[in-house]
Amino acid sequence: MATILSLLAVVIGLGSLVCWIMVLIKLFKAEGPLYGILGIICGLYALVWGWMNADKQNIRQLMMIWTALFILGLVINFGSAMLMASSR
Amino acid sequence: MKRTFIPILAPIVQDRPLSMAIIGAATLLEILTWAGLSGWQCPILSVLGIPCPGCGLTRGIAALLHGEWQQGLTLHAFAPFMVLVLVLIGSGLLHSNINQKLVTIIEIVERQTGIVAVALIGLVLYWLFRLIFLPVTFLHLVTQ
Repeated sequence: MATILSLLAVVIGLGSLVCWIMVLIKLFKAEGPLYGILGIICGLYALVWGWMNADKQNIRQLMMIWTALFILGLVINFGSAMLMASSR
Repeated sequence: MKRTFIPILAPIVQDRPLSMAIIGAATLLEILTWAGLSGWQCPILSVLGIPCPGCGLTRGIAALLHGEWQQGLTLHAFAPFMVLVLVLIGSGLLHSNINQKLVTIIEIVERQTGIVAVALIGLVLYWLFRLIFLPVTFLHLVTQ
């Protein structure tokens, strides 16, 4: 079970990474290098900025996928924590 | 002619919906961290195994808010700076008059000192330093 969760976490992480990079490219182009760096340092800023500019940048679908992966990551993280707690 | 810097934080504080979303998301992350869950799974760390420049910041801020200064600074030296930034963004949400005054002050400070731009570049250099000279400690800190 733990192996499946770890594998899932890597797949979700990979998907999130791709979405993040795609949003970062838009962020760098639209707002300039300093906001781009801010988006790298604070992924949360990139996520919020992406949603705020989803229609303007035509990235609504990308943002929905990224957010779904983010929520899925949270659920898996919670599941792993519960699994670890129950195995102790 | 005197050189001025481009403001970075002032436009964020001025944009109230953006500020509200940032504060809401940051609060949620801190609550999850306090509950012992990692809210933001860093994609760079989970896929490549390399910590990103912001790795350790959320837990560093949580430690600072708990009063654990040493732990907070060990996790991320820029955690106090990020606390200040979040406080400024949060203060901008209080009232439109306060927001306008705050934006004006932040903009003047940023234009004259470029403090946020300098901090962002400093943060990247700090990350590179930890990654090159203290890789094991850095990885241990952010994955513990």
